Amino acid sequence: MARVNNEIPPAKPWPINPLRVSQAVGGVLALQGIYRSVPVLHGAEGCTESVKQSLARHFREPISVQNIAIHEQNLIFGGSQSIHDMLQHVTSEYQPDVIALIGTSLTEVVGEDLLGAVEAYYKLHKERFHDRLLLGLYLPDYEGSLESGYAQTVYCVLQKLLRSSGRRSRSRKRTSRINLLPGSHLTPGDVMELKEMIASFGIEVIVLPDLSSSLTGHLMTGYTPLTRGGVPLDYLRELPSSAYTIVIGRSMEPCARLLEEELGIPYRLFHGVTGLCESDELILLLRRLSGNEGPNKYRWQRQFLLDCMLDTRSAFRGRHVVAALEGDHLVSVFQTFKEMGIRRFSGVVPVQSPALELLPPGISVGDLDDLERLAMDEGDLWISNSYGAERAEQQHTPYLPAGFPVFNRFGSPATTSVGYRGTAELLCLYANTLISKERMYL
Amino acid sequence: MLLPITDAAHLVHGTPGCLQNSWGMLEAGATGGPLSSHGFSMGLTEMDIIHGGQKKLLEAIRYIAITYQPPCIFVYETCITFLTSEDLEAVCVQAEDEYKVPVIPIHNAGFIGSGNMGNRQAGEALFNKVIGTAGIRGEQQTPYDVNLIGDFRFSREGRKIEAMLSSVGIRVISQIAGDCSLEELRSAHLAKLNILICTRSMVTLARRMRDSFGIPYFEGSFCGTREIRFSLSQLSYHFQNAELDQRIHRYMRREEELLHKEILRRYKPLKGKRIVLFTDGIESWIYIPLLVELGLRIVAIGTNQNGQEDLSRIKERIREDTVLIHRSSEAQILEAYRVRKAELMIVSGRNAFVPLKEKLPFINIDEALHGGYAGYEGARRLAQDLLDTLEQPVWSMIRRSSPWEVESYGSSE
Repeated sequence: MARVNNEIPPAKPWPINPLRVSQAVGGVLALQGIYRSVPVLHGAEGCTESVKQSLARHFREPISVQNIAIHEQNLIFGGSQSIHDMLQHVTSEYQPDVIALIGTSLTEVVGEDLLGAVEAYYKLHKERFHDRLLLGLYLPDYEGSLESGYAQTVYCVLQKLLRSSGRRSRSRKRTSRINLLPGSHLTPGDVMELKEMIASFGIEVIVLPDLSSSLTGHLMTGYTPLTRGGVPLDYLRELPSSAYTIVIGRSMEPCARLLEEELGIPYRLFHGVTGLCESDELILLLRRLSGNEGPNKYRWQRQFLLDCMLDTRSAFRGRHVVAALEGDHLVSVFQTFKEMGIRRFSGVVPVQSPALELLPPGISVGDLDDLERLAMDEGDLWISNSYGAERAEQQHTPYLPAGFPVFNRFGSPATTSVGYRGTAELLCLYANTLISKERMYL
Repeated sequence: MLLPITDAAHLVHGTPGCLQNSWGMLEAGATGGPLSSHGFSMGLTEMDIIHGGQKKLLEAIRYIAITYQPPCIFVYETCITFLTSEDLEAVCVQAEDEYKVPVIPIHNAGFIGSGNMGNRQAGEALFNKVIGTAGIRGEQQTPYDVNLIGDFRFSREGRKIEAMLSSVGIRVISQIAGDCSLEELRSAHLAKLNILICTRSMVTLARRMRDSFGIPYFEGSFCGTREIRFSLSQLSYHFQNAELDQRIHRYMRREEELLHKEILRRYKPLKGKRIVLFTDGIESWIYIPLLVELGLRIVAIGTNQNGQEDLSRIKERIREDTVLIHRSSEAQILEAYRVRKAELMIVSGRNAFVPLKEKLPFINIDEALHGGYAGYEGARRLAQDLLDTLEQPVWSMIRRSSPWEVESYGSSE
């Protein structure tokens, strides 16, 4: 880029190399973690295609999503009929367990009463929804980002679930079962690892949404427009009788709070279960919930992590790390670096987020262009989605892909950075990338 | 030792294992040349040992000469080929003749002696076959040409020192054997002065260069202002030029002032910190003056592998209250660390895992990849590294109780 060195450019009137991802992507992603579900986007056809493409590119998996194409006449005369038609089509043709009608900014701008139309359809065909969930929500992309779209969708699912399960939900609690609400920054691999950890203490766990069984790449034969994995609806209905909720990520906290307020299920917030402290906290929590000590392998994994921290510590010493990620993700990444000790951590988040208060002052709302400016100040490591790869390279800053989307990489959805083992892997990855600078450019 | 000569090919004439010790040992941060990442080994088999590997060696040299066309090929003798009395010299002469490329045998079979001995052998070879083989090219000479002669792992220090010297108008022709090309080595005899930097093994080379080319030499170090002052003053004394002398002294005054100001402000937290030094070889003494200058208190020094020479150098540089632990076992070092309430251990080489497995804060000199600690800039870097290390939360993290030992972590989050 032909920017004059050291000259501060004028304030940017608009984002360059934006970091924001449409909320609808988050919503569609969340629904991939529920078995036999189908999100239906209400928007222009291109909207759906881009959502589908970006998710498929990141996960290398087929993505379930349908579309109510809005045409000019819908805009002019109102689209409630086409919504009815589409719902009719989807329910009778595909027989999904969960249908979510998601409004985009186009819906909002034309003032289409999506929720009203969904409600009307539901009242008309109540008999069809005894064992199904129908929900509608607006996820306009002019506000929020992937993280908020994802969290809102989970919240909406929970709300509908509680309402439809009625009295049943206030039944006696099952002490040996807990709920897990993973945030959008956890990979399917992370969710799998957490499920394993929890299960190894003899605790049953319901995960919402469960991407680990849906986007990890199992080869189920046959075509279906519905999701091929995730938590089944009838299992999900058991969620109100769980004894405890583990929620991961600030953005997901409202979901856990809903369960606490409505059903009295206590919850515990983690930022990512990445790093020594949070992994310790999780193990301790599981020990207390289960009343047993858990498998020995975690003691070994902890030792391994400690050794790994000592082995890699000099790679972190005195470094400046810059990262552009969604709020919760950035918190989780930051806490790992904080445990090791680096000189400076700075970065950007795509939108205003409650996570910001957990982060050091150098973090603000911004885009990849802002990140580039931060990296110019002796950046030693650049963490962002794949759109940052080339910019990082031109700056001679070692680059590590993270966040969304990450493409041109195999296996990134399966990478694990939770628990002792995941943290150790992550630290090695960070350290290896950090020292690559010396190899390449000195 | 010769590995930093990165455009040359290095061929190990021995069994497959012999290469492992040196391949890729070139420190990170060295520039690297076209052949620096290649490891050539004869990979001799049982049959080769019985029937002799000379023919195979000749073929290998031919292959390297044709495929890679290096300016020079070093052939290293190993224990096995020494025992089977292979005539390395003859093969090299023959190869040189046939392929028109200098082929230099290095007689450094492992049992001859320690690494120091190997270095000396390498120096001999350089003196006999390389240095002085380039003609005089007048336009490339300046009145203040010097060579830097260092020890193993000298490249990064060498680069820093070269940068320093060039800022007072002194030119470094070649770094033996730091980061340099063969061509630079060949014209090393054109220098007016050799500076030996913290090395014993290369004194022989310096002496022989003095005797043959009349190049005087002196020994010096560039770690810490006192040592820099001493070295640069010697340099200035040699050239006997008032203008240069003034320039050097002005430079030192300015840099010292800057550094001292920073030591008082930025690096103030280091003052009075108690450290234990547990390093090998020259590293056991070259950093002492600098550490003292930064205000650190060296409470104990482990002198494991040090000869008398190193010991007296250590003694010259420490204060009275430092405990010297001779023939130190790890247990003794750790005890000294605890009894004398040290806060940081500085280690190198084989000692690196002593503090690591005890979860004690430490800094590994070898691992400080991003450059040496020579010169004023190096002093700052060491200070910053020490400061950063002491501040790293990882030291308290690793002492945290495991979740099986506690019932609650309190509100530690």
